[in-house]
Amino acid sequence: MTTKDVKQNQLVTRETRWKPMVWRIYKVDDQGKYETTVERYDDHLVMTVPFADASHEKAEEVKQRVLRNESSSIEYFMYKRLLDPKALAQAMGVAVWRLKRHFKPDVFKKLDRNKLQEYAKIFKVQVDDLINFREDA
Amino acid sequence: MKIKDTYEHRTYAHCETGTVTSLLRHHGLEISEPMVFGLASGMMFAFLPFVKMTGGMPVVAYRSIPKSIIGGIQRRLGVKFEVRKYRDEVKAMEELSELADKKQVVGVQASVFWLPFFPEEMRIPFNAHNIVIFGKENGEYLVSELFIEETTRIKPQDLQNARFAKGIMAPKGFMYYPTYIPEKIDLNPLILKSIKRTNFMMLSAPAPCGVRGIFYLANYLEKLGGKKSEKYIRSLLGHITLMQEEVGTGGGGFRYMYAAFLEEAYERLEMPVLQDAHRKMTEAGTLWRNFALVCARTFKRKDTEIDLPHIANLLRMAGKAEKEVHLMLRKIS
Repeated sequence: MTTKDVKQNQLVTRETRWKPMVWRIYKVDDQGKYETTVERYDDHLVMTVPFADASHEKAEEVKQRVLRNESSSIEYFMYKRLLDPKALAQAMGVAVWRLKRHFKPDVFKKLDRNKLQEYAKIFKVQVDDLINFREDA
Repeated sequence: MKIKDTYEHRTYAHCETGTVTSLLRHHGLEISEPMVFGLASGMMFAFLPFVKMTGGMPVVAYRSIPKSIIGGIQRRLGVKFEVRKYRDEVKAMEELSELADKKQVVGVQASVFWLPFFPEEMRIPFNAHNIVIFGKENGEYLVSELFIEETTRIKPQDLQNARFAKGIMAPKGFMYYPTYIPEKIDLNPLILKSIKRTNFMMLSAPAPCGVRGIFYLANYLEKLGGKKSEKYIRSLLGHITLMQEEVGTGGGGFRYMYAAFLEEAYERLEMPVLQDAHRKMTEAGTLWRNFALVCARTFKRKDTEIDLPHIANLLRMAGKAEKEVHLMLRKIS
């Protein structure tokens, strides 16, 4: 997914994005027979969204730290993309402690371009967005 | 094996049983989703506090491990699946492309994180999701995603990323499609066999699994108060609800789906014990849902008190009802 797609995605409201999603629920009808009914986003409040919101909230906290140069953009995008250190470390194929080292601004500056490219691929952003921190990338 | 000309898309309750049902139906075996779930003995319960998922949450599973349905259905029905796994990403995509050109409908394991057709909030790093690829058009793969009403498309690059995501349960390009389906399948004896197997797994499994696992989780929840922070307990309860109701379980953590299977079994075999069992299983499913409802409420309303003994009791009631069903079904032999 390109940067443009992500931006377009954000313009669309949450309801429209969730509209095609369907949960099939097996239920008993009046005759005591099983049938499937369909539940939608509006009908029953989804738990996935609060979990995503919690991660996004964390990203906002980290954003302030990134702007104060206390953390690196990697940590911000990690929470922004609903990952946590363990999941990101697995996706990158590195140990968690090494990943956490990359959160330090000094270490982050020294990372080579290949490593940044790998991160950028996972976060679906450009490498420049990581170096020159752009929150909406 | 009578393969249909056009692929018919419809939504299913669960991704793995859904893809398997969808593939079997396309290849000429009319079978329902609960039937596949029941025959493959998909129902299980496991609570593993020492295995952590993303977000530091323990594993709460309402079904047997991923891929067990593909394996189980082959063993039970005698159908054969061509199953492929890859190390080479390019080769995996080439072979999929060849199959798509041949109009072969293929089930593919993919990571939710990389699938662009899902809403942004849903793209968590979960690797054991299944989708159906049923063709290629203008360089894009046609996808039948079982949680979305209409068919969608995916770019080859996105699909490659999804098929080779790293981490636990990494897909490694896993794909499958049926190659052989027996001419005549007599379901009735197979249904009894699979009920017996589920029975054995639920009643005889050691503590963190099966029926014992349900009571173990109840005791675990009751003792949590004071040990962990309030925030952790709330998100654990939220996590349980998420696993039970929203990752595609057909409601009540597969219990409704299993009850639907028992109902279908009753229609075929007409054994009164099956009817009693299916009614009782529905009750158990409703009890599970009540439990999830209270958990969700506790998670969402941060200002309310956490009543852990009450929650644990609701869970025990669900566990008790379920145990009764399995004990009841033990009589058939």
